[in-house]
Amino acid sequence: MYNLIRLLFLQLKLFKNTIVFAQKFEKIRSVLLLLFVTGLFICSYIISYQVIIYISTFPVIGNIFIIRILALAFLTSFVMLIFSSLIVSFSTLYDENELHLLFSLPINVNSIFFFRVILTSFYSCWMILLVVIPFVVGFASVKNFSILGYFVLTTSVLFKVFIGTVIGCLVTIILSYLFPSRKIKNIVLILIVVLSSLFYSLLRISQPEKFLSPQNFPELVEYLDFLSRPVAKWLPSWWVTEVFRGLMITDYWIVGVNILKLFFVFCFTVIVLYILGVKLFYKSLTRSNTNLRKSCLKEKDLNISSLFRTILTKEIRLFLREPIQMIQFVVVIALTTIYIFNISRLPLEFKYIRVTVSFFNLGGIMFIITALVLRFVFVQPSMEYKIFWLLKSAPVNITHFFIIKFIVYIPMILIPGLIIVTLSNLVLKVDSILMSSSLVIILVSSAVLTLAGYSFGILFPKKEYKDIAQIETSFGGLIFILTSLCYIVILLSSIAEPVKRYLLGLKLSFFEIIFYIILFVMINFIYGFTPGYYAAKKFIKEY
Amino acid sequence: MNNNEIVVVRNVSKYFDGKQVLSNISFVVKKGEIFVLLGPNGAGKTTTVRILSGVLEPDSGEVYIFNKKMFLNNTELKRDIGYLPDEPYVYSKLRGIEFIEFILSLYKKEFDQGKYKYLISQFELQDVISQPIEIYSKGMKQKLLLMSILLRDPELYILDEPLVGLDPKCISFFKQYIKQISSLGKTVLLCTHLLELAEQLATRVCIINNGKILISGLRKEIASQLNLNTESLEEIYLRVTTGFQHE
Repeated sequence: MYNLIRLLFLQLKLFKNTIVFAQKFEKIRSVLLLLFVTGLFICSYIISYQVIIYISTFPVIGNIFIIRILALAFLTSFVMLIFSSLIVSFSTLYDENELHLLFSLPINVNSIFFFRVILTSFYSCWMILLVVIPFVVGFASVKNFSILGYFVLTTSVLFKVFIGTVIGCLVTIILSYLFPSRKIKNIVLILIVVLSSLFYSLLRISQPEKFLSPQNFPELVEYLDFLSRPVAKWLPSWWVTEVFRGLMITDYWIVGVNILKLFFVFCFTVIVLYILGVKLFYKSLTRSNTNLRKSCLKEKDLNISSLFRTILTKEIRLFLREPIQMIQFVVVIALTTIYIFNISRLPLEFKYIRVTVSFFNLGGIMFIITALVLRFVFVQPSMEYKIFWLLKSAPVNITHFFIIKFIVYIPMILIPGLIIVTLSNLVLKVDSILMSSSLVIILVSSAVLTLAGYSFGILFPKKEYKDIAQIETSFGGLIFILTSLCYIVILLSSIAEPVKRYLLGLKLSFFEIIFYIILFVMINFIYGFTPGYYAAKKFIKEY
Repeated sequence: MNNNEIVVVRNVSKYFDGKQVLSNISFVVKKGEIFVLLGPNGAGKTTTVRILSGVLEPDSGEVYIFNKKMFLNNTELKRDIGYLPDEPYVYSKLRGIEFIEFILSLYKKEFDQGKYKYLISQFELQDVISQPIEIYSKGMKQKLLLMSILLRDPELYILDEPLVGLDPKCISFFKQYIKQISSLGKTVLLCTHLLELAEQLATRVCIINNGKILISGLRKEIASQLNLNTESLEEIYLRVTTGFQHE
């Protein structure tokens, strides 16, 4: 226990030193990030508060509806926690150099293990809590909870968080024990994510929202009964919802029973973790490094090829061998399917609705492209930061290298973008003019966002990271997302007038057409090449 | 400048975050020499070799290699240089053999199977060459990088702390190999803080500290300049570095 506390204090000291010894630029960066997060927190709270006040005014079903929304939010966050913990624990529990140092010290394996579990819990829950807390606080403040009520609610949420992260850690440890080979472990991890994405997509396509419409039920009583039913009542997420409901209707029996359920399950998972986890953790850790497989690759297979093919081969090999990248790709495909499905569910009887949706759809697709660029392009300079010496010292023209990189990555961004815009426009039944102009806009913006993504990656590299997700959520990633959002808004605003004229059946004059084309080119040129210019300068000087 | 001068460094300065790490350094490396850059930690050795290999550009001053100016996109010049950095970061998800293939393709060098077999047995990498680099030890990565350089046989070797992590057998092989290629007219610029290595290999020595060149030349010349009775590099090094620090 003493060592565990020492390790936790060490972690706090590391965090403190990161702030104390940060350079001026890093301090400004941290303050900006803190302001952004605080702003996001306040906005989420205000929006949640207003929505709940509005829902509370619904006669009869107001409170039932609130409980239903909360139950869904708690269930979603619980599932997300397990997944987040599952992915994070693969790197925090197994893949770190720090473990070598810790194991060389006179510290009990149990202390090291629980220290890593606590770190995993923190890394996997902070972002989910950041989204859930203002939402829950919004609910609690509308219902005028007392301080004790807030305390009870916080405790139950914390129990749920720990149960979720401990489950994630346990799954990781069992997987690592059963599949000591890293390759098989990665395949299993990808399979889990694929199946989950498939399950989520099927759930969405089954249109659960139709059950929330009273007209789908023969009697109103049946509808109310349906709404009152528990959502996954054997899961901790429902028990937290019940705690909330108990506090809302001041029924302390419900609160007590559900807090006890959470407490006992929490204790149970910790005991399982202690008995099973510690044993398997050490065994899987030692086993995972000893399984070497002889490969049949021979020197006769060596193929000296052109620069383009060399870099292309390298990029494909690295992409296919990075499980997190593959997992993210699967998640993006699932989300995209749901996005197109959601569009098809919109009321599209009138042309003006179809044109308007098609216009805003461009913004949505550009945002999906931004997310793809963030995941696959922005992260590249950080991933290659320590290896750039090799390319800079090699007889490779750096401009050619960047052009090849662009050619390698643009299909990965462009193809999904073009598929989504084509499919969504087919669903929207837009005419050929809108279809072709949408394709051109997505074509250009994909190239521009890819350029900007790589440039921002060079401008704000994350030199030290434990997994790729940390690069995406770094300050640079945030800046890229914010600037890309500005770019999308400006680009959409620039084409809003021509779209409006088209909708009203009014024609543009020749000079107006030229003006809008120049405006479009300029916006894209500025966002594509300005960060690129500064990135090139930084690359030459600092990398 | 004449054809015998392989590396010419003239008044090179470099700053990082406003701090001067190299201050007007100048030196020349001649053909066939084993030129050793010596200095304590943080002296500016690594920055110097990074500039020489074209990884970094100097803030002022010029670097000429084979009588041609070195800059980031001078690809022709880089083709004849073998650069080994002090920290062997490589693509950990590639296999060893794929890394060799990648390097040979970048440098457009033909694959010499005989030499490959010779080097792989000397470096004892046969069992891991088909494995991903992420399972390699630090020494194995260093061996792989050295092998990728020796395999393409450049005219100029710029090696920053080449012995880090190597086992005694490889160290012995490496020293012999360096002497052999030097006798064949290849030039070697070695950057180290291991005096023993410098003592055994150096034809000329340059001692650098706090971004400034303290002294440069043949050991005999330096010893006479410092009025030392011995040519021991340890004596020279301690005299030069501590002497300057005390001033």
